[in-house]
Amino acid sequence: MNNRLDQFIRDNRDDFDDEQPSARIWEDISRRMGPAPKKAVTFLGMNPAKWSAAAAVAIILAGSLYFISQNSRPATQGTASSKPIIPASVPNSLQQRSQEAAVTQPSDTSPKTAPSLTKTETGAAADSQDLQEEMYHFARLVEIRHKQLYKIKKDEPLLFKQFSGDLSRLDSVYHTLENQIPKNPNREQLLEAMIQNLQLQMDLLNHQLTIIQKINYLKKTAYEKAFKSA
Amino acid sequence: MELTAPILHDELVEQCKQGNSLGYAALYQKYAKAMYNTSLRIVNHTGDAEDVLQEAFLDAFGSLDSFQYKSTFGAWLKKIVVNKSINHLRKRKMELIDIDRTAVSNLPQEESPDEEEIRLKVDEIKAAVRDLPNGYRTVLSLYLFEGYDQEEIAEILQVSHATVRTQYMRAKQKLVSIIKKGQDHE
Repeated sequence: MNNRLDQFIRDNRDDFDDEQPSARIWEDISRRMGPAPKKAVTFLGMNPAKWSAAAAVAIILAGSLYFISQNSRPATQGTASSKPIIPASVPNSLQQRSQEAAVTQPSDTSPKTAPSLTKTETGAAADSQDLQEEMYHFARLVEIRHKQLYKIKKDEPLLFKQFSGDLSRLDSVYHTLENQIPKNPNREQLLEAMIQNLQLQMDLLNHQLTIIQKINYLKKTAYEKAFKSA
Repeated sequence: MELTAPILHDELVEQCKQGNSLGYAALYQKYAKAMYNTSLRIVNHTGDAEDVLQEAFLDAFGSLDSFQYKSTFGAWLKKIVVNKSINHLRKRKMELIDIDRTAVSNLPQEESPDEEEIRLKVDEIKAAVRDLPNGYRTVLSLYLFEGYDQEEIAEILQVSHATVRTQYMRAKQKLVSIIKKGQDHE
């Protein structure tokens, strides 16, 4: 079968593709496709590249459930007058809102906890003063860890992007809660939820920092190994 | 030494999968012309080929999530185009297996088409391919132009390997005779 005609076609194959489809074809295709299908951000996508962030989130959720079931408050503030009211529906609504928020604000990669806190402070009433203080305390901790996390931006840009992506989801839930304060009669309950959110953010940051430390350790040992064997 | 899988990863495809609409336009720009010509050689009608092109791209873009790099994107898309083109011919109730009126015994079986005498030009070959009956043209296009082997063609057309072989040989003979006839008339 290997003869002159076959050879000629093979040698000049591109010259045979010389007809042009009309320009309206692409117009029709792009019109019929509509707007590009935006993929929804998956909350617990098990993409192997996201294993670290996903693992951190899983650990925190387990930890926070334990925390809620113990119904205990951290000893950071002893001035609370009443036992905190933590309704069972809070974790569910948190998750639900985080999904809504992730859809509406997917590009918010730089959580700004501190400014939003001051806004809340001015709008809050005196009866929830201690809750406010507690919130401020957590917000400060979150801020400090944010700064620590920011240091890895240069060395691990991909990891930083994933980490801050997870954080921004939590943060957008925080803002949703914050926006509900004027409308919701049960201010105390909302503030509790906001504090829980900040605690989650802090735990997430802690885990992320642990992961970074592990990565740095592995890098260091690998480097030393290579150095010794060289 | 370990054999590594060929890298079929396609940057444009990944862009599309991430919802970047520019990726779709770029993929179209890259493949539209070749796919249009592939379809045109089979359906032999510019309007039909354009319909096939449009449907094929819409199908491919719509099911991009299921594309798993088992082949290159180009090969995957071409398979869609070929199948749609063949379905187009079938819809028009065109016979895909041509029955040659000449009795087989009248054909010199082993004689290969006399290609040495013909001067080969792209336009002449294209015109001759257009003149082939649908079945011959399809088999010949898939084999000579699209690079499918005869077993793949048998699978695409849902016919036996033997049928593809004889159809191809007759198609080739017919093609050469059309080209020669054209040159004789010059």
